[in-house]
Amino acid sequence: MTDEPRTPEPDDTAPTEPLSGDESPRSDAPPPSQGVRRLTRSSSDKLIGGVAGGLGRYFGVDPILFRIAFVVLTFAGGVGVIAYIGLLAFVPADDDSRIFGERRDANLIGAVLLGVLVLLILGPPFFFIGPALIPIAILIGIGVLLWRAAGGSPPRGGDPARVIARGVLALLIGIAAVGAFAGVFLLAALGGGTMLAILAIVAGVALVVTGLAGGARWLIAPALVLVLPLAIVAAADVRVDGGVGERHYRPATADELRPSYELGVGEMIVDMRDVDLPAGTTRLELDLGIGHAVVRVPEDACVTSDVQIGAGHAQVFGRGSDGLDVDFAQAATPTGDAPRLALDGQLGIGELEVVRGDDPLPSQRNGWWDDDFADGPACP
Amino acid sequence: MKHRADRVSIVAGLAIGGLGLVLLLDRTGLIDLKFGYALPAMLACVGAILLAAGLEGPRR
Repeated sequence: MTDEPRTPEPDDTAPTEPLSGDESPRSDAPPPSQGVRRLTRSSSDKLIGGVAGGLGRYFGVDPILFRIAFVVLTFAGGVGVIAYIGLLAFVPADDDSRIFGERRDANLIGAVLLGVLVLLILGPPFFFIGPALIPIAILIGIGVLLWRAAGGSPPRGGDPARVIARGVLALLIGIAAVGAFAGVFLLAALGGGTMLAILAIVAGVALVVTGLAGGARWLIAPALVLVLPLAIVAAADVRVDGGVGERHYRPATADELRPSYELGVGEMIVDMRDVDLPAGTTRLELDLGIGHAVVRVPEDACVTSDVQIGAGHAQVFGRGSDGLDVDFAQAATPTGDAPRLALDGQLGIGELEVVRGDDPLPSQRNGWWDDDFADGPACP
Repeated sequence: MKHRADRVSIVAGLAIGGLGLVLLLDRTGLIDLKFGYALPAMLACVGAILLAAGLEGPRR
């Protein structure tokens, strides 16, 4: 590790603008082959491999920001280390040195080993910090978009009107992208997922084919808007074809109790306080795409719960689970001839609360993590 | 006129096409995709494209 004082480097210059005919190249300008600014590792401003120094130089910010980011992300499932090693391996140094040596096959082997390492870490259970990376990625994306909208360089005496115009354009494009994202999400949740997946494959093939013939990068953004919301719908298993709104069911007898209740988007309350469940097992299925579901079970019922939620909370008699891929199961063995209710809950994104009789809902108390909320038994 | 291959488009195509294939398998019921795999796959897809674009630099 070295900590040398920073010295001026060829790439320290701002993005190169085309020279007009009567201008002569400056002596400190990058050579013609580097007319387009490239991301390179810094050979002078470095603590380990010059990655942060190179990123700081490329984005025109203090490299310490990237060093802090790498350290913070290292505690986020080792992502910082992986990202650093990846950049160290693939980003060339500004003095053309290669991290795995000069041999091309050594670099290839290094890249393959790194890929295996990344795949191992990306898969569960190692990728435990995955959800936290989404807001981080979104924030970084917004920052990069704003930076690029401002002209890709710090606004040093630039035309303010041009900067504002670019910012507004970026904002409009962002709004259009969010709208398209929501539209694809809805279409996929309404059952068009297969068609959208096929379209994503077609878009991918088109990108490869056009890439071999020169490229069509404009296709990347719409293809991503197509595939990312579909991935969320697929992972959460969201289905919104059961309608939209508030549904409040309060059957008075066991005969009025349906075997299943379904809602696409909204709030669904199944209140069984008045139901006198028969002896034996009564099955109840609950299917909610996005929203909030409440089940009030009879006072004397033993409840066996099997709840799956793509993203959200499950709270059953005060016990619960939250996060992504929620899988909550609670068994109950009734004594004597007490009625048994087998609850099968499927939620895409949302919350499910199961309470007994007139008990208050956990969400209406002091929040989901109220430690004083007493756990209730599955059987009375 | 001979065109030069665009690595960014090729990487993006492979990543998006691969993710689309996984999603098609899920939608047709052959696999059951969960967030535990979908989120890393989404991030890897976007990351691969950004990495390819960052290494290549802007097009002239």
